Amino acid sequence: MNKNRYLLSVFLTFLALVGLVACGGTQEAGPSTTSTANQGAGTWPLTVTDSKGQVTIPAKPSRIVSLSPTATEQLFAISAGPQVVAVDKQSTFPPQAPKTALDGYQPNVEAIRSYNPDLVVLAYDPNSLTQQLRDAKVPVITLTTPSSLAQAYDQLRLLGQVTGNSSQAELTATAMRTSIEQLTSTVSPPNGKPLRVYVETEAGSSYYTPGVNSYMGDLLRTLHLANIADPAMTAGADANYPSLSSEAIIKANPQLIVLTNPVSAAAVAARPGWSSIEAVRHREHSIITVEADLASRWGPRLVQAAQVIAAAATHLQTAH
Amino acid sequence: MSTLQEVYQRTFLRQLVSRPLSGSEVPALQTSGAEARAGYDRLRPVALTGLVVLLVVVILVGLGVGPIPIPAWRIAADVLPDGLTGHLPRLSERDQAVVWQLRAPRVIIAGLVGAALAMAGATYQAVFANPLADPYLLGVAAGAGLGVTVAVVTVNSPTSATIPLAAFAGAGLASALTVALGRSRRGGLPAPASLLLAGVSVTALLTAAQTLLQHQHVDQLQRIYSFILGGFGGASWPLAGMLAPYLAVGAGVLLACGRLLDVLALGDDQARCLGVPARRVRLLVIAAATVLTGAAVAAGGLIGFIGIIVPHALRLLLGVGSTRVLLPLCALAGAAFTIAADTAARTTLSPAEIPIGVVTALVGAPFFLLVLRRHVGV
Repeated sequence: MNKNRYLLSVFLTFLALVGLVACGGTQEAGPSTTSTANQGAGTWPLTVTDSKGQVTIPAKPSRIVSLSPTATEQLFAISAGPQVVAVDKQSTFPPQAPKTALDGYQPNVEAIRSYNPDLVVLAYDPNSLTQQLRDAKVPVITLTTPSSLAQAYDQLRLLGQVTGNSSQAELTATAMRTSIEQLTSTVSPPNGKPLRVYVETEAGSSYYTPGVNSYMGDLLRTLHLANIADPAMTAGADANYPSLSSEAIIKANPQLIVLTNPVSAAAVAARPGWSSIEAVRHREHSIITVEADLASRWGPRLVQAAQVIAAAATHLQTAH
Repeated sequence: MSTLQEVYQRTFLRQLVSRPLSGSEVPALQTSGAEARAGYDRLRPVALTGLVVLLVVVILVGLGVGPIPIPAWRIAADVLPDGLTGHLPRLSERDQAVVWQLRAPRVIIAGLVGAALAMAGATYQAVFANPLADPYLLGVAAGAGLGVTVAVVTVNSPTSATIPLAAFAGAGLASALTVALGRSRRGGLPAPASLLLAGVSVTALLTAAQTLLQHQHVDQLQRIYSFILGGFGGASWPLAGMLAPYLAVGAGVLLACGRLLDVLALGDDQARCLGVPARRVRLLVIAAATVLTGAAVAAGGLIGFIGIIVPHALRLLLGVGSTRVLLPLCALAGAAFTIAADTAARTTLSPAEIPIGVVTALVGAPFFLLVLRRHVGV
């Protein structure tokens, strides 16, 4: 009797724990390589170089599956939207994208193939997905997190070429570049001393931030802002996505804190020891939030993130 | 003297002496028995003073080093009254924040966690008469891991207080489950062997649930793993305040039960003859050790090795056999070791931090082997 009751309680506990499941936010980071196109557009078969190497696309794709939220935004921005048949569940933008249950973090070959794709676009390949798809004669383009803005623009051009939307892709890339470069003039420091900025992507026991070799690091540089993760300011910081200790951030003393994670300015100010940081002392306009989807994706909407950061920096520089 | 089992025989000597010896065990006793009986079972002032000094040194170093180096005398000048220090300059506002809001709670929490894990480890080893018993034996680690996983995937933005609470709740539920499962069919108090088995199955069950949840939330893995690997990056005074009462109660019960633990080592029957209700005492100290472990895990994540290394190193280096004597030494040595390991974890690869579990294993495992070789001649 007793034993049965215990076994039942174990089972119920187990069920209750397994049942407590809910959705969380998305976050992207990873290695980066260059992606450049090497052939003229509009003729297939077409051989291009993506983040992983050379890929041959046999014909103009009309059934594209995107497993990367950024790629989804890029495809729709360059007018390749009608060619997209399925996007992964993390692809939250644009709203008209054909969102499915496909999981970009744990891609399943069978599920992807059920959409009968003639092109799959990935940012992340945790197992041998690319090989499995290629074995099945499905071309795969991998576009990993770029390490500069130029690489982000090139990804647009590459997708334009592959999908037969080159001119629209070129327009989108140019618009993105000029919009960001125009912001530069508004944030140029009057006295030549750039504002010290800390961008937070993930907070735990230490803090993850984009390094100098990341598209966000490049964005800060383009905006004439000093990234505190620059090894010149924080010795030993990794160039890609370094993790910084509280103390390293306090030492670097940022003047502007950009939160791209769901953390409130009040919570940041309450972190032990952070009260001595200049941005925390002034707080009013010096701790800002940029929507994670804008900052963690390197598609055309990155311009919106740049605008928010530039506006805050301009405000602080005129106030100083 | 060549196997771990023999080390165990020597360090758990009382148990050996008390029961009839088989022929093969007699030589082992003759080589080390006299030595072990010769006064090692009382608290020696030298050992105690040495460990206290070590702890103080480690605390001062821990407060002083980091990306912003602050010499110990400046920290001292900051706390002592002006008259005593001859009006030395106080620390700057930034340095005060770094020392008193970041490093001080961190050093204190690391010390408390280390003391708790070492004491819990010593207790489990004594209670289960098993030298490999560690504080995570009864499913505490798996329970805490599951608690944190559930919290991370269900709460949208867990605050600094959510994770320790979830870990503590998970640890508590897991060990309660273990004790419930380990009880005998007649509803009696659990025997050590069945508790161990129950602990193993609860660990397996909860780990499976945790893995399943993590598999469904790959995007949250980083936060879960930073807990699993352990660390004191989230240390703060409120966390130290939350931790302290559990540690005080757990440690108090264990220190008060030291003599009973030594009697338990004689075996259940002998203990009963001496008027000690073996199973009840065992359950009480297991509960106290589990409270210690749960609180430690809540504050520092899953830090391995401390609970095994510290008690054994003390047994081997100082020849302590009695658990009563071992427990206070464990508290001091565990605290010093963990503070030192944490200081290394946050300074070695600065500005990044390495998980403290990596440090305790990297430093602890070879040290432990060295101790074993020197004292046992492997």
